Formats: sequence, structure tokens, C-alpha cells
Amino acid sequence: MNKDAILATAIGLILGLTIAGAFIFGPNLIKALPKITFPAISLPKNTPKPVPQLTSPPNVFGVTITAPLEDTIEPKKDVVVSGMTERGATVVIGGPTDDDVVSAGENGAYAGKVTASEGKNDIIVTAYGSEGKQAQSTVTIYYTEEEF
Amino acid sequence: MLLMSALTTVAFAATPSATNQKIEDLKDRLATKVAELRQTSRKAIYGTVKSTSITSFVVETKTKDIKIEQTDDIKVIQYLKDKRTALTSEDITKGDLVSVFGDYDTTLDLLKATIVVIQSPGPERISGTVTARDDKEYTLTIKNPQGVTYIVDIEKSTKTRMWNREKKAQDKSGFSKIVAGNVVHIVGFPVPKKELRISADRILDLGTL
Repeated sequence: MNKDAILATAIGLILGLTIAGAFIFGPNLIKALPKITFPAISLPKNTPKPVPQLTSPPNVFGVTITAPLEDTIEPKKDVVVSGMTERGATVVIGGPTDDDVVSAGENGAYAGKVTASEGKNDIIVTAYGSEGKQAQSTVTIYYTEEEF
Repeated sequence: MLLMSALTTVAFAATPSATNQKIEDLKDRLATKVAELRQTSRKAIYGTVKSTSITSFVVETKTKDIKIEQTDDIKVIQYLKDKRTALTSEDITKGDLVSVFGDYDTTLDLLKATIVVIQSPGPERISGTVTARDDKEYTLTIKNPQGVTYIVDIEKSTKTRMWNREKKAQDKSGFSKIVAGNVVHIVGFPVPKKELRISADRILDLGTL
């Protein structure tokens, strides 16, 4: 008997014994093993996405001045004042020597013109909205006739 | 063609080292200019003259005291009886209300003044609803949105205008046309020794809003 035949016989014997052992002792061994539980996975259902509730902005009446900017030195005596307020509001632009009255447009934008005096000028913008609402905003600018 | 030929000639004439040198010089000059611009900026301030000296004075503004350096070509202006009058820096005195124009050095917190306008206290501006009109005393009673009541004296010099909504223009108006319930804007000066009383310089009547 050569070596190869002996080796094959031994391997066959080992395999046979392993399979027989698995059949005999397997069921008891499986019972003895600790139970493995997998975490429950819940797949997302086809539910509608939550839609953010659109709430109307707070009913706050106000007026802003976008131009001119605070503490700027204006190059000309005629100063254009513009900003935003409520649509259709009556806006009074008060300058040091005169006043301008304008109505805000559909988008709430307004623009008017006042005459600056030499030195410091306080420009006061007062907006009158519906239902007696009123708001005020102020900007300070400087003007000189001198070359500067 | 001429420009292209000139550019080509310049490009070939300049050696790489000379070009690099020029670029470096330009960079230095640019950096210096940027630094200068960052350091000084044109600015105007308003406040009360706190103290004066030969070459400078200090102005107390709403937020802080600012040192004003007088330049050689400083111009001092004041409106005297509505007439623009040129003065000198010697006319600037403690307590004056001034607007100062100049170059502001942020690092030194110093304003190099080129123009100084000596101003008088500005008028007061009130707005509100007319609650009463006194035809004998020529006064209006105005209640502002905060609930404060003012008495407004109408002077011969008072200019009255009324907002014409249809024409979107201001029309000439008068004291007799102002009625209770109208919204008015008044610019005037406080009456001495009388609280909440204003002598009207101009009135803008908006009617009922």
C-alpha cells in the first residue's frame, strides 16, 4: 500500500467521523448555543413628506431707509431718499428745508427728494399705512458746497 | 497695428530682470497706496467744540471725543442771518456746534479738517393730529402718536402747504384750511420758557389719513 492510498483512507475516515458526529451531536449542540436575535428593521413606508406650514408674516408696520446711508457725505444739494414700507403707504420725507410726500409702490418701495443744507442734515421718514398705522425712520447725512 | 508693434517692441526690449523689478516696484506702490487708503478716509462729524488750541480742537460727538487737526487750507463757514459767511479758524470757540469735514486717520483717531461749518441748533420737528384750532390766538393743538400734546404758534412767516392726493403734489395752503382731525408735520423752534410750545416755521398738512 503506497502512501497516497493510506492518506486518502485517513482523510475519508476523518470526514466520515465528522459527518457522523455532526448528525449525532449536532442537534444538542445547536440547542446549547445562545440565541442570536437581530434588531428589527422597519423600512420607511411610502408616507407623504411633511409640508411646512406657511404662516403669514407678523403684521408689523415699518419703514426703512436704504439710501442714503448713515453719515455719508452727499455730493449734491438734492438728496434722493429711498426705502421700503407697506404697499400704497403715504410717505413723508422730511428734510432740513423742505418735505416731500410720496406713495409707496406695489412692492412697497418709495423714493423722494429733499434739499440738504450745509453741514449736518437729519432726514426723517414717516410712513402712514392702512388702519392708522404709522412708522418712522431717520438718517443723518452731511453736505458741503465746498470742493471736498 | 501701431499699438501692437509698439507693445511687441517694448516686450522684447525689456529684459526679464528689468520687468520683474518693475512689477515689484508696482506692487510696492500699490501696497503703500492701499495702506494709505486704509489708514485715512473722508469723513464728516458733528458735535460740540469741547476745547480749542492754536492748531487743533476737540469735538464732543454723540459717541466720543475726536481731536481735530487744522490743516493750512482749512475753511470755516457760518450762516449769519441766512448769509453764507467765510470765517477763520480763530472764530471757532468752545461750545460751538460744528460739522467738520476732513480726512480721518483711524490709527491716530484724528480728523484732519479741511472744512468746518459752524451750525446753529436745528429746528424741532413734530407730527400728529390736529385736535383744536384757535382762530383768536392763531394756535393749533397737536397730539403726537405718543399722546404728547403741543401748542403750535402760527407766525406771519409760517409757510403752510397741503398735500394734494389726487395731483400728488403740495399746494399752498393757510391756517384757516387746517381742520381738526388732519395729520400735520410741523417744523419750528421751541418758544422760550414755554414747555411743549413751538413757533412754526413751516407746516405740511396731509389731511385725514
